[in-house]
Amino acid sequence: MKNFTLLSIAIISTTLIFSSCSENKKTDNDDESVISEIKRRTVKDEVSELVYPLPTSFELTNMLNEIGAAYILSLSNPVENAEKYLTVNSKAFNLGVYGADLSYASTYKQKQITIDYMSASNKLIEELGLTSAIEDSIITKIEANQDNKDALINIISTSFYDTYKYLNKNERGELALLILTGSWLEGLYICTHISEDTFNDVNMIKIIMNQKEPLSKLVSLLDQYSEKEFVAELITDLTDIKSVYDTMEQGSITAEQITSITQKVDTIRTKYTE
Amino acid sequence: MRESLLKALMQLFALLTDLRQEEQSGTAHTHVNEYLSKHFSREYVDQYSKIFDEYLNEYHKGTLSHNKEEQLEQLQNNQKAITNICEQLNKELEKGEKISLFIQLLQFLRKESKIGGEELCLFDSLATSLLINKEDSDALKTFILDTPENVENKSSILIISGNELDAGKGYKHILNEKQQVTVWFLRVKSTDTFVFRYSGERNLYLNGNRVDKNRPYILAPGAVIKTSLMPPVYYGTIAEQFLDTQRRSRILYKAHDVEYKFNPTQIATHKFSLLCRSGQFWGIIGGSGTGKTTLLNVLNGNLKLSHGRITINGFDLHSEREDLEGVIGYVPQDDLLIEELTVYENLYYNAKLCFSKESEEEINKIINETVEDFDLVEARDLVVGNPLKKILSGGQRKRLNIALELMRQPSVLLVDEPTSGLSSMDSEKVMLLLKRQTLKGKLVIINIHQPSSDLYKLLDKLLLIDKGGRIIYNGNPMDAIEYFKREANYVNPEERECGTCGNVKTEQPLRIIEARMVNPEGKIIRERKVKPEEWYQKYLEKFEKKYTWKNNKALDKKEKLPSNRFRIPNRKNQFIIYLKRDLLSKIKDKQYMMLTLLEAPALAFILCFFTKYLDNETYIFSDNVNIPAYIFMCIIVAMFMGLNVSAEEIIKDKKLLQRETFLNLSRFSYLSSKVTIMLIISAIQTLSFVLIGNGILEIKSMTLSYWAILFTLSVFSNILGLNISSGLNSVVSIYIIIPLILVPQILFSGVIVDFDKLHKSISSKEKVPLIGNIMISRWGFEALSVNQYKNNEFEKHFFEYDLNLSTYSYYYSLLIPELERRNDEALWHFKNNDTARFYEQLNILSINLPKIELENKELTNSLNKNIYNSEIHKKVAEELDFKKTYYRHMYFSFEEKKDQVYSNLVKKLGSKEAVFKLKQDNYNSKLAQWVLRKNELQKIELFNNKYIQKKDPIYMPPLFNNGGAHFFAPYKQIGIIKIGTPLFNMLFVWVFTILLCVTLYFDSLRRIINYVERFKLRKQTNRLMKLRI
Repeated sequence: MKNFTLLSIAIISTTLIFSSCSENKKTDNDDESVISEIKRRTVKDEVSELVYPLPTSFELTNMLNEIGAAYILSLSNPVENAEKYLTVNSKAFNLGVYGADLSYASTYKQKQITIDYMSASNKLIEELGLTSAIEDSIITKIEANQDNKDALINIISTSFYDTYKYLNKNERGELALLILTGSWLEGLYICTHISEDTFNDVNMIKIIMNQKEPLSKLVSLLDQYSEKEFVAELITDLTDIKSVYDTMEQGSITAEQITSITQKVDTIRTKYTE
Repeated sequence: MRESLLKALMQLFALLTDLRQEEQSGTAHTHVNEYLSKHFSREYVDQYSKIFDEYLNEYHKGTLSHNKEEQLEQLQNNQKAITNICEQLNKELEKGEKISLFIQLLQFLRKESKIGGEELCLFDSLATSLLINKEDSDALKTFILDTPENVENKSSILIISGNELDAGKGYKHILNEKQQVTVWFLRVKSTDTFVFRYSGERNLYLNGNRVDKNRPYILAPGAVIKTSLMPPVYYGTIAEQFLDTQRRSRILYKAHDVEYKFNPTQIATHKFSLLCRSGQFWGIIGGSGTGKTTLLNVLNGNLKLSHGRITINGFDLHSEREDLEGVIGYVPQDDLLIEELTVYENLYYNAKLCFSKESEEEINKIINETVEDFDLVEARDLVVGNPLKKILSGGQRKRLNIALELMRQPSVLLVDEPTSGLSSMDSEKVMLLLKRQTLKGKLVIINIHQPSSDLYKLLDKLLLIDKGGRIIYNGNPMDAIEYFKREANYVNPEERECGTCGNVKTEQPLRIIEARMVNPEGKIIRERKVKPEEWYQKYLEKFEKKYTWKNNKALDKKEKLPSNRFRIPNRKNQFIIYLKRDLLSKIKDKQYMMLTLLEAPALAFILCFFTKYLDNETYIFSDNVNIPAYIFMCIIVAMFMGLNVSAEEIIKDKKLLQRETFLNLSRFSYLSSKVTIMLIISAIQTLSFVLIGNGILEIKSMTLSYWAILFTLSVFSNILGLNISSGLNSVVSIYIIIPLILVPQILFSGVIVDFDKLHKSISSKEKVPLIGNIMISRWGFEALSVNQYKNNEFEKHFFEYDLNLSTYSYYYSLLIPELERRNDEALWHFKNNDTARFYEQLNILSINLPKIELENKELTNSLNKNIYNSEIHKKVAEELDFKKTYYRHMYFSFEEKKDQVYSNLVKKLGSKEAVFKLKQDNYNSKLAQWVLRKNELQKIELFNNKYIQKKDPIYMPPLFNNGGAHFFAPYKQIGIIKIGTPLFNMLFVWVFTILLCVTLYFDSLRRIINYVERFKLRKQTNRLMKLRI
């Protein structure tokens, strides 16, 4: 009886061994193609933006705070969704989304929610391999400065800048832009959905109107990477919104335009954060 | 004698009296009176004499009449009366007693000078009604009423005379030349009773009382006949002569100057010699603690002699053991029964082990014969039970023990205290049973403690043993009484038994031997009158020296041993028998079965019920934070159950094993059967555990691998438990050892204590330290965790990619930046002429740079302190940067590939939600945290100037080619072969298990313990000897 067990184990182990041996052969062939690619890229990426091109979502949320808008948790992308994002692109995009949610929560001094969103962001940062971009102790710092709003904003903004810089330095510029896009979109989403009588608040309308420029900049930046499928799709979606802005007259915006923008933002956001 | 019996006797006497003759001679009355006065007091004599007269008148009323019809009627009536009396007697009397009665009546008849036809007629009907064997009754009639020479069956006659001519006449004959009397013996076949009568010129004494000439007497066991010029004739001598010696050849057991020592300084059994023959019943009597059991073990060959030799038919007991296979049977004092089986089943499996060549029917026949022989018919299908919960009585247990040994008919049977703890009825039964064996030609040697008078008389030879294992007497039991009384200067030493009742004071020898001295104040003190050494000296002078047979070389000649049917089966069949027996006894123990089978599911249920972490109502496997704890508990439960199940296995069979080594049965077969049963139980237990545990916690599709790993661990624990069970002496010590084994396993499994965080001397940063490697729990836990993380339905698609991603990320974001830093620092220290620090940095660089596999291989060589300068620094920096980029790009490409796999999966399963559900059902985040060491801040560590990756252990390839690796390594590497961790760990544990099987076979634990004890003892005795000098 024992002999049989030993024999079967031997057979199983040999098959496993051979299967593992054969797998390794595949990866070696790819190395060569990568090396040739490296030469190409280093030339291209020498000129890269290391400066954060857009205002951070803090600006947006601060504006909201000043005009007296409330803090609505259900507007933010739920923290649990962090598990769902399995591709690199969706992770990057939603990292941006969570960044905006984080700003929103910290602006309104929501202590626990701030920490929750920081954890969710951290998770995505880990999965994207960006842990070396930001400080190790960021969560501890946030916890320590829970009551100090300014310090918090400082810490979080620094992390945005660091991430952006790191990604660009490490030839991951498109991810940086995806994060940026996510952050911007989420900000706009919160703005447009925060209250029913958005239309009646002049300041609110102003905020929405002022997003025209950041949007254009975003689209032009994204163009660099338009050969990537995900980016191309994103450009299309953003251009859709941009088209509404383009019909806008200088300094004014109609109710329909706002409604249109709101709807489009809604659709696009849902598409990417699901 | 009972009154009813006496009355019956009177009636029979009356019936058999010829009235007419009686009126003339009055002999009947005289005889009756004589008989009565011999046995009873005056009152009874008168009373029963009167009763005799009454009966006489009643039965012979019609004799004096001349009416033929009346006479005939009387005859018929008398016959009827006889039949009635006999019916009653048949109910009350045993065979032996009936023969005794029969002989009394014959003696009565003999007294008549002429025996009438009527009387003979009545007598014949008496014989038939008493159901006495026709052959025997005829023989007795002839022997007593006629002369012995006319007995038909000459082989049942023995004659002791001085006449040589008597030999040829077909009787058995003992010749004593100087004898002047002739003694005739008749053996009554049906009861093995001996009747004798003598004729001759001299007086004959039976047990010291004078015997009448030509009168029949019964020779009871223990009796001795003496006359002048004739050596005493013992009962045993006569019995021996009648032995059925045709069927089996004889046995000659010789012990020559045998001595046994416990250790070089302590003698257990002092020198003695012994000569035994088949058909003898030897008894060993001694006080407590004198060494009886040791002596018995010396005689059966279990203990190695320190001096002297024991031979059976010339074959040496120790050096020629194989030739003596099956000859010796030994029944120790303790039970050798399997408690859960019935009497029949115990005998059955024993028979299967002894008679491999016999068919099933033959074996059944043997068993049924044995059951009848040993009076176990009522108990045949009763379960044996244990001494606490008795089902069989003590006597039955004892008989069964002896039956097991006797079943194979060993020619030499040694029994240790067959009567201890038994009632006197049971003791008698057992002793008679053993006596019957000797009558069949066996040699039986027993230890006996305080035998009653009757049992004492059954013995043929007696060995008396005193403190320190000194034999102080060897000879006839009745003579022993005389010997000691003489030595103690008793008055009237020849009186061995009571003249009236025949009772022997069996405690007398011992009392004399151990008699204590009396101090001047009249109090008995501890010191003995005669020391053991003195008795021993006397023995040597009076017995040993007179053993002329010691020099008789003829006794050393090898003789053919009696054949027997004892054939042990081959190893494979032994294995099967052991297996069947053990399975049967386990299945019959309902409580055991229930506990064993329900233990695992119950534990699984308890474990899982409390670790199923329910948030809201739906259970998500991914979110269950208790999964690592569950895995750990699985391991511990498997090991614990394994140890528990096997702990008692061997120790409870200890006595059985002793017996079976005696029979030369294979230890290998026994162990194999035990191991097989353990395997079966482990398989069932672990399977039920996994099914329930994984079921409740919804661990999908990994049942087989979980079961395989847990089964492996359980089997390991089984074999470990068997080792312990075999090596230790008591059950308690085994159960004490179990926590001693399990606690280190728990502690060093890698779960409770991090291997990295142990003391420097036992930990190693690059791989699992030795302390972890010897803990089977660690192998098990690693196997299960790696298996669960790596092979689950979700992660298995991505694992290869994740592994590469982790590795490349380590290189470009951790290792290379560190090396770049070292490079810069080296230059800085070089420029500042800080030679010590410069060398240090350079050293670190040169050790770790090879790992990067630079394009420019010679660069490593230029890390020499003599050559290094800022140019080298620049080259190194460039190379490092290039390599960094390279790794980064490898990382990107793998990222893309992983995303591709993901989208393929989405396509296959239909939607993103489906993939997400797959992850939730199969991928556990808490376990991921463990195997990825997410909580550990130290991602890279410098140890002995070497950089070691600390992050993502599960994605890190092992650093060694010999199988060694860090904890949670995904696979282990031997040479160029990569073996996945779950499989590797499993195989490793199996190797360990097989190693333990080997130590089990050689009983290594016991040997180590014995060696240590002997070592201690030797040191102790050396110390003592030094003190003595």
